[in-house]
Amino acid sequence: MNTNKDFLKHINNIYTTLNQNESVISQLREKNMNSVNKYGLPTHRKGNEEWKYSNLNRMTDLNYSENKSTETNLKNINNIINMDDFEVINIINGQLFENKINNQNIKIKNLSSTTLTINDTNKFNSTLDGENEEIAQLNTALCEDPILIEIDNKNSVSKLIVNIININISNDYIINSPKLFIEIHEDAEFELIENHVGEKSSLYTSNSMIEILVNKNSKLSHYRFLEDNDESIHLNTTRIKLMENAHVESNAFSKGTKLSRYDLKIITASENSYSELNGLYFTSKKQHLDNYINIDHIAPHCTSRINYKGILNDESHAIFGGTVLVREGAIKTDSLQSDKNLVLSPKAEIDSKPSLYIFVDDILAGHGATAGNIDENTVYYMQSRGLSLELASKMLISGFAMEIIDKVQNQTLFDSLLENYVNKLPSYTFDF
Amino acid sequence: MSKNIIEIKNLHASVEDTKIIKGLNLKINVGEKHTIMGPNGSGKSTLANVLAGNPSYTVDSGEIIFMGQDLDEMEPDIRACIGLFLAFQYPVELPGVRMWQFLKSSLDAKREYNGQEPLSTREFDNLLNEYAEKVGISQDFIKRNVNEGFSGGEKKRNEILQLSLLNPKLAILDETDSGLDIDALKVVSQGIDSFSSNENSVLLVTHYQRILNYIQPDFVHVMMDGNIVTSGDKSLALELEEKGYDWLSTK
Ligand SMILES: Nc1ncnc2c1ncn2[C@@H]1O[C@H](COP(=O)(O)OP(=O)(O)O)[C@@H](O)[C@H]1O
Ligand SMILES: [Mg+2]
Repeated sequence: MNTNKDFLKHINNIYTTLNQNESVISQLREKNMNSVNKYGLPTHRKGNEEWKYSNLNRMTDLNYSENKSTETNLKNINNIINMDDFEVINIINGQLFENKINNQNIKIKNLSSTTLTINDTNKFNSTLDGENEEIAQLNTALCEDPILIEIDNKNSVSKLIVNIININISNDYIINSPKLFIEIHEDAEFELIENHVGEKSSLYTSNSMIEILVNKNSKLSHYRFLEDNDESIHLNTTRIKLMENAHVESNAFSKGTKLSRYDLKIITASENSYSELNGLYFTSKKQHLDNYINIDHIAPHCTSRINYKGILNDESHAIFGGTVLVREGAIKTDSLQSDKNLVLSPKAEIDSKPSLYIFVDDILAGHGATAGNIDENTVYYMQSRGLSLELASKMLISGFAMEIIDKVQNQTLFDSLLENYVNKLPSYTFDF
Repeated sequence: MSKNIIEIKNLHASVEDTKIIKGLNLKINVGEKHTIMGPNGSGKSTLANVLAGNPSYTVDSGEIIFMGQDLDEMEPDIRACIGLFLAFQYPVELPGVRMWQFLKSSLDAKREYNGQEPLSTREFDNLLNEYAEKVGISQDFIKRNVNEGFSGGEKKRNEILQLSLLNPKLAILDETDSGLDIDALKVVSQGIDSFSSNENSVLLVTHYQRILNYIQPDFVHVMMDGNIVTSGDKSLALELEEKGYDWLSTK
């Protein structure tokens, strides 16, 4: 309790410093700071299903510093992504640092460059619906430099990498609150790589928020990489709102940290949208990783697919939760949810609890979760071809991951996933 | 003088504490083709799996000598490396494991065990293409995951492809003929036939004598209730087709 008070005091101090000078974002910050002070942070007690398995004490119990370094040397951070055919922006400690965009179809406004208007700020948090908002409110109260991105192209695909970078030289944690709103205009096509990274020895909590409005007939390919360092706390709220005929494919690749929670919600606001959410997560040591993946089916005739897979090692704990909600008007919804896990250590733990709530008859829906190992007969088949138990195990664990990596169309990303994920899988030998 | 490839002596084997194989004897010499026939549940697959080293099955007593070595306690991968091959009755799907990688790794493992260098990608591809074409497996399949989404016939062809590549001393084929249409049956039979030579041996486990129209066995054994009850030449298979198995059980 006491430590929690320290944390609240700390964030109030940061807020006060940020809001010292009046700006277009002041009111929004204030409103959200008030909410945080009034309602506090989510707790995993009191039968709170959404936070049943994740305890924010891992974040609030840390010592925090108010002074953020102005270190901007990115040389020691090796997982920053740059690719030839993509535009890049780098956000450091919540602040837009480099804007190298050279494409008229991608327009960026942000607070620190004073290009953001009061009107623009109305977009922030417009995709929230009053549920599970505490972490989003915390992000908004403390956001350093909210960024608005508009994508408007008709004949080509706009491609953007957003590196969300964290650096800290102090011995206490800092908290960063990157905030983005992305609007993809009608008939546009957008490829987004969202890459969360941190300098290796830096202590930080990164609480980011990304809202994406996918307008009529537009298409989003979203790649999310959680590469924050081992000691970091990673919180992310993502809301993707789909208008008529919108199409989204999202592939999330996550490595565990001290504590991470990915809160994703797809909102089908209009008819005929398609969403496919794939995810692959690896956890080891004492990491704690929470996927909270939700789809709110409001409009009729929408399709959604969730396909997540986890590989857990050591004493790590992973969670797959969230809800597919099919509301009363959402007739002809077609939805499938699946989460599969390979648990490679007796001390690793998975809580996979996808849920499905249906308030309409005329739909196709299914969900399933499996936690367990590859079966004996599979390994025997491979051994009978001369493969050792070790090699067969290795091929099967890679194969398990490949099922998600295979969804990645971009060749450069595909190759780097082989390198960064498949080649670095824990060595493990199945034993029956 | 003929050299024997495998000799099974008074074999007793069980699964989950149920005795299935009950004192079976069988000797196969190099260059011979043997067929084991018998009704469902007589223990044919159990025998095949015991020979291949399936860990679900327990050898209670008896001996299996393969290529002069006692197979007792030998891991299935080592059995494969010294020249034993089982074509599965129900080939297994390997999600996310590519055919090419699987086949190359298998051959490399066997070569390494026998002190040979792995084939270069080029050499391997040439070999693979040659055999794949023979069994009618297209390039598309080589890029796919092992057996995933393959039809029953495609899975069986894939077993024959693996047989050709690994070129074992003893090929045990567990009902590789069942569930095949006539064209697939021909392809599979041709595959077995072109593998078979006077330097290796075949043990063909089957439920029907249909495949014997394409493959000429030297010996036919009938298995019932965990043992070989009678042996003969090809004419025995024809007799079985006429009379069924019942006349044997009452003998
Ligand atoms: N894994 C197993 N667990 C339990 N019983 C088994 C298993 N495998 C085979 N059996 C039993 O062993 C007997 C022989 O089966 P099988 O060897 O498959 O016969 P066949 O191949 O001749 O049809 C059957 O009664 C079958 O039910
Ligand atoms: Mg059988």
